[in-house]
Amino acid sequence: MIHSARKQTKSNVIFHFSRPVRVLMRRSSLAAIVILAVVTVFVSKVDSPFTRSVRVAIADTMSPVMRVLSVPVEVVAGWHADMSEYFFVHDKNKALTQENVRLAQQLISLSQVAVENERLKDLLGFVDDVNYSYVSARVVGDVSGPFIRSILINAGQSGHVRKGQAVVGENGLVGRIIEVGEQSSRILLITDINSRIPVITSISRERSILAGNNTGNPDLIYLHEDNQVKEGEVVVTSGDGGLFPPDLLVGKVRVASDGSFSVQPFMQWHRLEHLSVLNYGTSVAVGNVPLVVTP
Amino acid sequence: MISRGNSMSFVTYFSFFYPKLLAVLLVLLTSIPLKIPGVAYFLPMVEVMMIYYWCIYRPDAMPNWFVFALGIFRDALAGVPLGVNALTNVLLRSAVVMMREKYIKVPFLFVWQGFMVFACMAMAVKWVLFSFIFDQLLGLNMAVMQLLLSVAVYPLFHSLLNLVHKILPGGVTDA
Repeated sequence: MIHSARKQTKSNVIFHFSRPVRVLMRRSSLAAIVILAVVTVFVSKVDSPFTRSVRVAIADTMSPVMRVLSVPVEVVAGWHADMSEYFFVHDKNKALTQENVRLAQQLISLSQVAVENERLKDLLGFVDDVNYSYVSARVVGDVSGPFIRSILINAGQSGHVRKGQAVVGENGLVGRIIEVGEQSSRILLITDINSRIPVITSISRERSILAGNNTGNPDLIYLHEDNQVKEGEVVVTSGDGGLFPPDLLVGKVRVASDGSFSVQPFMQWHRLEHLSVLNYGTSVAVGNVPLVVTP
Repeated sequence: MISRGNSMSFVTYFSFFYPKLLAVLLVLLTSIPLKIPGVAYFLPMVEVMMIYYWCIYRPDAMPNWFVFALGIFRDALAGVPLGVNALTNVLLRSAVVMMREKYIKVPFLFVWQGFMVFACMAMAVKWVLFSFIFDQLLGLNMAVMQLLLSVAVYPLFHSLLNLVHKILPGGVTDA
């Protein structure tokens, strides 16, 4: 009994003295983690190759998992779309028939314009150097948040995707590739606050920069003060700088009450499913990674 | 005895991994395309909810190293500079653990109120860090939307986590 009591007293004493040590250890481990997190933020701010490679490796590993997880969402979204269409199928059929007649008429006149365009190009000796191939990919991750706008696709280096390439969807420009893994790539959307793309208005031919602002409608900046830009004008890429091919559809001009210009993109962001990464022949370097040079 | 030992070790492993795997799964689920217009920009802050809940009722389920790793995981998926969510998570965890006594055995309304305060704190930290990284003061519209949505869905999330908590050994008693 005495022996047991002594043992217990001893263990109490050890516990009594070890407690501050344990508290200190816990606090110092917390301090170490906070310091590690702060250092990581600073290192990442300068975009170090190490943090970039960690980011790419994690995104690359997780993209197949995200693809699997998104299957049920796609099934439910498909059901919802089918149900919505079911109730309007008659009206939709009527509208599509009318549209088909209208488009057939337009096709006839446009084919005449196309022939005329080709003939005039021949006469002028115009050299059309816009030539690109593309890689199709599926959107596997929508990782946008209040302060960022980016998505992940399931094509990477193995699919000949390179940093800086333009990405388009069925309705127009989506963004550009900013990170490339082996099997996945990250796209910075044109609406992200860090996105800057040279564009031109289709009618007034005013050059400008499309600057993302983390809202649905990116701004048009660096326009001439005496510009002739009108509400509703279509905005396309200008091809300046050789980064993007010219004439990719972007959106329509919107003029705010204070006279500032923004663009309403043609893309519907929640409908992004399959995208095309354009391999546009250029030798312009983006950051420290040169773009693909097509032969 | 052997079987008891095995079941104990299973229980130990289960309690160790279960909340953590759930947190990782939720981060992945909020990173896939949900095909709902506009929602991707202000999805509920699931990490904040998880950290808040577990750090009140079971701080051992969300240790510092894990919330840091979870933040790095989110940063990597989101393509933002590593450390932004990690630092936010670690600071949030410390603050919640420090104040957790106030939120145990109190009516749910107080717990909800507490979540509102800590979610605002987490968002403020994120806003400061993102503004620092992008060298400009960022707009708060979407952040406010995200906060409001997170606060609105927290009661549902809390109930779901209570169910999860009940499965764990030494399950929920006062949540």
